[in-house]
Amino acid sequence: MVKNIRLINPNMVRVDGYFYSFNEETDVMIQKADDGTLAFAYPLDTTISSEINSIEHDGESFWTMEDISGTPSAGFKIRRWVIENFVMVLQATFTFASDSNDTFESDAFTVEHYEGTLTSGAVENTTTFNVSFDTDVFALLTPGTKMFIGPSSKVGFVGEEESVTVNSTGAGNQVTVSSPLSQGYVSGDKVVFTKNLWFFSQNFQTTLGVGALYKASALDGSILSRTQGGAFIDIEATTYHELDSFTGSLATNNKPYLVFIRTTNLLFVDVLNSNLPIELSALQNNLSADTTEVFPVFDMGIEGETIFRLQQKFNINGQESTETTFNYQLATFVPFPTAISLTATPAILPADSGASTSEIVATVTDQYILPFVTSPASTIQFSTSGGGTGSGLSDTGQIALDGNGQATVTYTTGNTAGLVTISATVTIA
Amino acid sequence: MPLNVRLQDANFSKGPDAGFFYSCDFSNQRLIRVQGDGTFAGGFPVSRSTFRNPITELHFDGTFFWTLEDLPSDLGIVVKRWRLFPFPTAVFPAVVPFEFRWFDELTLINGPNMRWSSNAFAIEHYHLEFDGTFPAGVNTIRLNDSANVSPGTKLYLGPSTFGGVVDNEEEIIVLGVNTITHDITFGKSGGLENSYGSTDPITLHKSIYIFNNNSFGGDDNGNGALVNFAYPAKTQNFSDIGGKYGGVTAADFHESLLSWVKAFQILEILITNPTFDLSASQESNLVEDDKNTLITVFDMISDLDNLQYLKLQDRETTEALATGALTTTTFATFNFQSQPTPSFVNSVAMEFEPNRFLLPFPDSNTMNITTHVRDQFNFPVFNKTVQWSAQINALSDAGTIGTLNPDQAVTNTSGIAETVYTPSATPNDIILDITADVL
Repeated sequence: MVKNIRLINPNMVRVDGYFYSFNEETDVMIQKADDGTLAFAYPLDTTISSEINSIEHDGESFWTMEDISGTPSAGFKIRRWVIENFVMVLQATFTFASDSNDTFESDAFTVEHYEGTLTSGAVENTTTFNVSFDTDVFALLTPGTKMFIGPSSKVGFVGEEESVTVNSTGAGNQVTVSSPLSQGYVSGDKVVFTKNLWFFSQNFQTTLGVGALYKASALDGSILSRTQGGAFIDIEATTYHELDSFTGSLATNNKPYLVFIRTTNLLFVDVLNSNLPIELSALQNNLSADTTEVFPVFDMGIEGETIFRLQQKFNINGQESTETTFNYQLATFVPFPTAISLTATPAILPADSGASTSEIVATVTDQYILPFVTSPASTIQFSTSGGGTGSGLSDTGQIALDGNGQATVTYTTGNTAGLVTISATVTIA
Repeated sequence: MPLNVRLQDANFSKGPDAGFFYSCDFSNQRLIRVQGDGTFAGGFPVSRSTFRNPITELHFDGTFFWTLEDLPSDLGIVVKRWRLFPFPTAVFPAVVPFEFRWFDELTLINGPNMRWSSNAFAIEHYHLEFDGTFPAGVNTIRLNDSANVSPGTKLYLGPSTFGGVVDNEEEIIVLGVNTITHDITFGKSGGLENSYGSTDPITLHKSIYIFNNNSFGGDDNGNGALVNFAYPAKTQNFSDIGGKYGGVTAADFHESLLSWVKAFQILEILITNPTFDLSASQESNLVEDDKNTLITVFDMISDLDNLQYLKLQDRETTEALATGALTTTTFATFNFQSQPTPSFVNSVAMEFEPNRFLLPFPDSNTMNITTHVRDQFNFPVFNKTVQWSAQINALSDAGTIGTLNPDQAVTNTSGIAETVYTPSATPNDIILDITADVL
């Protein structure tokens, strides 16, 4: 049994150690601890009639997606909410109703948002400050962009937060906002801003069942782009995440991604590239033990490098279970070895007592099907059986994997003909 | 929940006799009085009106009982004011009540633009006291507070503790108020009918709050509205629309604090706040042991002088202190569960950094564990000792648990306590359950 957060609705987001989920029957957003204990509930100031398909959190606001009606192809609504005085207060509703241009049908959306820090203290009653982001997204801070600052660490303002509107930007990552700050902040305090909404649709415009990824403005909900693609069909779980899990030569993969689950793969779209390439794919274990059934993932949350997949069916160490409630199964962005391939060249040798050799190459790959590379380097150890007297490997100790996740040894023949088995075990550094 | 008041009807209140609970018995058309253990201690048949439907809520303002019921044929709702009758007066002293007499009502009829659907209401009322001893015949008395008193306000005086007129009651209508001395004058012919001792009680009621499940546009959209009617004028003072007012099943009023149950929470508003922002919200143990199913509160008492709410329920979830195991018990009757208002630890959540996965095992890597401790108001709890423990999950391969250092720490002002997990030297992949308990 996998019972942890025990949600009754297939929507979830994780923020600061708690799980949040919307429930349309009681019209509240519930806040739960890891074991499903109800920590708190926030009444919605505007009631909802349909089940929420997906939730996102952009650092300030909660965002929800719900169908307009009982007919999914009729379209959906994306809403933005904030917590004010213990109540979820609706800030905006963007309705994507099917029309002559688009047949909207979606179960998954996310909010493109970026988190950075103040690099100079933003003083109360001023309009200018400087910011820094892990990724170079400063150019996205166009006039009109909403930015959320805080919580403040400045004495006298500790814990205070506020929302501002960007008026202009300047050299040195300087931001000028449209109205003076009401609170004071210090360097290092958090800033976040939201740029676009991304949602998956079963349909591209009015062409049904072909899959599409739509981009819409987070300010007004206007559609900014439509991209057709079979990879975008049947998507139920997605989120936005700035990946920071790769090291060494693979560190170029560390950047913001639209992350979504397509069957058993976590796919990563670089939305800062106008071609929207899928740049990474990570295998997930939402699969039955006999590998014949893919277990649906209904929503997903992120905490650091941990992924929380919201599921009803689970396979943990080969033990399957089905729950009546929705619970999470963990996964990680951190690369870990999932496969070792061994090649022997040549693969067949005469039993000539050391006269012949074969080059044995081990290639270790991770869940991204990328070479498993760590810093410091992880090691691999080869072993062999069979081959008779005199057979053996050139190195049976721990051998460092190279930048391609590979290590090579030489097998030397013995005097006994027969099957030789060579094994390898990875030890992660 | 131990069975306590064991009521057949889903309404209750306190009343004129301390230590007893009262409930409207629809089947027998009476108000019953029970002890805290459910022992029947008297019944008062209704007079001058009847219950046409089961009473959904019952309140007591210090003098009068108030009931809420649906009108027949989906006509709307009605709030009725009742009193145990007769009560001792100067004219008829030493009487005891034998009936539950109707005095007045506010009837709200469904119309083309407004539909009433309510399970909760509250009476804005205040408890005052005499500030000094006042003999019969005077036309001026001094109160301990006059903030809610103005010319025209009707005050209900007593029961008196003054020798010779003990338990007598009467009512007066205020003519003038001195807001500094809290002296009030009234125009009663012959002055006070009874003498009163210092701190003898005085009550007044000012308005009725109705939680309507429909918005004021009349749609049955569940958005809800809080509607206030002046009383006894019965004119609508104001309304506020919002989801926090929809689906409310219980409410009560205590010293300017309007409280109600919405889903899993008890919400509060200070009615002196014109913005209707909540002043507090507390998670109120209204979840079954499946950690999902809502437990309905049918009526509530704001017993805030005793730092608690009393919630009338037919189910209750309790936690075994030793194990933390939850058990939900369902009862054939309605009983109350206490919800304390002083802060207590209500939830514990953990964050793991850098990752819930430690790669590799073993390694010099460590995992920082941040534990958040919050109370029922969702506020951080300071200075609580958190103890961490770890065990191998049942679905895990065999392995060796690492260490948690420290294994105990005290929460800071942000309600946070931290520890570090270091994996064992055994190179096995294991699934580990790390638990934080607040001591």
